[in-house]
Amino acid sequence: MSHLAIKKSSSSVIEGACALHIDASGKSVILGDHEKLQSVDTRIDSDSITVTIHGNLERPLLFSADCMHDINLVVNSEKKAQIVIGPSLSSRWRIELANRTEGDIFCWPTSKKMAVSQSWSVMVEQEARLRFFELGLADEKTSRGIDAVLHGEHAHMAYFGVDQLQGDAQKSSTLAITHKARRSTSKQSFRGVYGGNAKARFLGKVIVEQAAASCKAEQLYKSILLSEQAHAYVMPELEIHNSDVSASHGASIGELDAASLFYLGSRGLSLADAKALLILSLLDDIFDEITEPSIKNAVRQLFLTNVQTTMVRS
Amino acid sequence: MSVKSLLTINDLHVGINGHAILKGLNLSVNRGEVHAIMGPNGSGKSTLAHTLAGKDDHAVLRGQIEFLGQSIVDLGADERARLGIFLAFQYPVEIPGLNNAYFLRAALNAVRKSRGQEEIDAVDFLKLVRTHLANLKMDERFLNRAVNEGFSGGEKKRNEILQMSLLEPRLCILDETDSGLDIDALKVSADGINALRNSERSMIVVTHYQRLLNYITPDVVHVMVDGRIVESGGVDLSFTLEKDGYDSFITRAKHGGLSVIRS
Repeated sequence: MSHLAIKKSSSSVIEGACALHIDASGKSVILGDHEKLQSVDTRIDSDSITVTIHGNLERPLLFSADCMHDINLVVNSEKKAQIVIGPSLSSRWRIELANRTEGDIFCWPTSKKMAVSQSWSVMVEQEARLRFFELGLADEKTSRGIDAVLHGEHAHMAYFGVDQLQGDAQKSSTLAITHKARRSTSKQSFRGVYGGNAKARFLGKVIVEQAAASCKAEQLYKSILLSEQAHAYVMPELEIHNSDVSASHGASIGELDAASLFYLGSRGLSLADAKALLILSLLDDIFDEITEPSIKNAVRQLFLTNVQTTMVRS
Repeated sequence: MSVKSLLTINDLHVGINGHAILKGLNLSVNRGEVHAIMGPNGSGKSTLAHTLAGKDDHAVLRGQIEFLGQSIVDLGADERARLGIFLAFQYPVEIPGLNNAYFLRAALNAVRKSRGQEEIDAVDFLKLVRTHLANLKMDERFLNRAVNEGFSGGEKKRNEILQMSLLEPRLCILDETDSGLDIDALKVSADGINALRNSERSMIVVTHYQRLLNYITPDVVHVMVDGRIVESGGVDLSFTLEKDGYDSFITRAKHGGLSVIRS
């Protein structure tokens, strides 16, 4: 299946989305209604592509790239932009949120046929708000490093990560959020479920620089292991250089709760269905943060199908 | 086995983590009967309730449990539930993130499927559950909360009875349903339970105190001491226990002086 075909099917899954695809030669291809993309500018240089959202993007934008160019996403719109990043070959990504803008970015799960290694550089300016969703699914092999800077006062970044991995999946995520400005806020919330031989590594760090007074930062990671062979390594880390900071962090890795499984079983639910319900209840912590209904439905359905398939197999 | 018999337990021995808890328990429950099981702390009442429901760390070491004429010892909790056994928990489990309505519909559909009935859709389910909520004087907002999360003691118990009423089991096991309830909540819960009584459905009511039996009148009262039923009688037995306590039963059990009486 070509990546273009993946894009077509994904845009139809996310109801009402418009899709912008950069093909292998670096040319942009717009799928669907052109009118919906009036607020998006695409500039293609020899080694980089810059996509700027300057007007009001009314629908979710599904973006993907088959080329090896660096990708710059610039959000400079009045309304919140919803951007879904589909499977892409580009390894270097940059996001910039201009002053007082708002954006939700979704890193869609990668195809198992693609081994993905990406580095993301994120800049959030004054009073801008970014929510970054990283979605990991099935037996993908992904390495993603995210280096974010809260550059302006009242800048905010929330990272929401979900993994539901099995088989021989390998996933490594490294996230660092640096507070450079006063009154900036950040949140890292991660839920992982690992079965089969899946191996996952998540390093999450918050750095609060000396000049960044009155900041707030929180980190919470919860993971469940479904098999003896699955492996999860999680490390939350705080590096604080200012005493006027509110910060918290926590991490847990465990099994599905036996008392909950018995409770659900005692109501007639099979073990597979009970496990699927408990897994989804954990992941819903993250899905409930998705405000755009079409994206939320697509994400939830994607994971629901995967969870049910996994439980039937196990 | 008589055609009226729903549950028959013979010489049941159960251990948890290598400790013997039930030590040769016998019990027979006919269709439509309500049996109260009373006893001091540690006598094995809750172990019996959880064993019947199929908790997998409750190892049946010896004996037999027959429900509707078939052995259920080797069945899982879900299979027993689909056969019609329902345990109302003393401490209902909180499941953060799992929507109560979603859970209730999933459970109902699991049971309906096993009975050869069609699955109920979301609209019909809402109509159905609203009727049950009204009967139990429960707010509809219960449906949108996570299962038991942040519920008061009374709300949790009513949520158990809501599930029982939706799933329409053949055997209801109520494990200390009265614990943690004020008198008003107790009356509402008891009304909900009494509304489910009929000639085909049986109940086992596990309790420390006679108080609950003022509202749910049992056909048979059993006294359980040290993993066995040591005396059975009519509802008057519960008044004797309320007045005199369990001491005489415990003392006599230690000296092997008790015989089982079935009224």
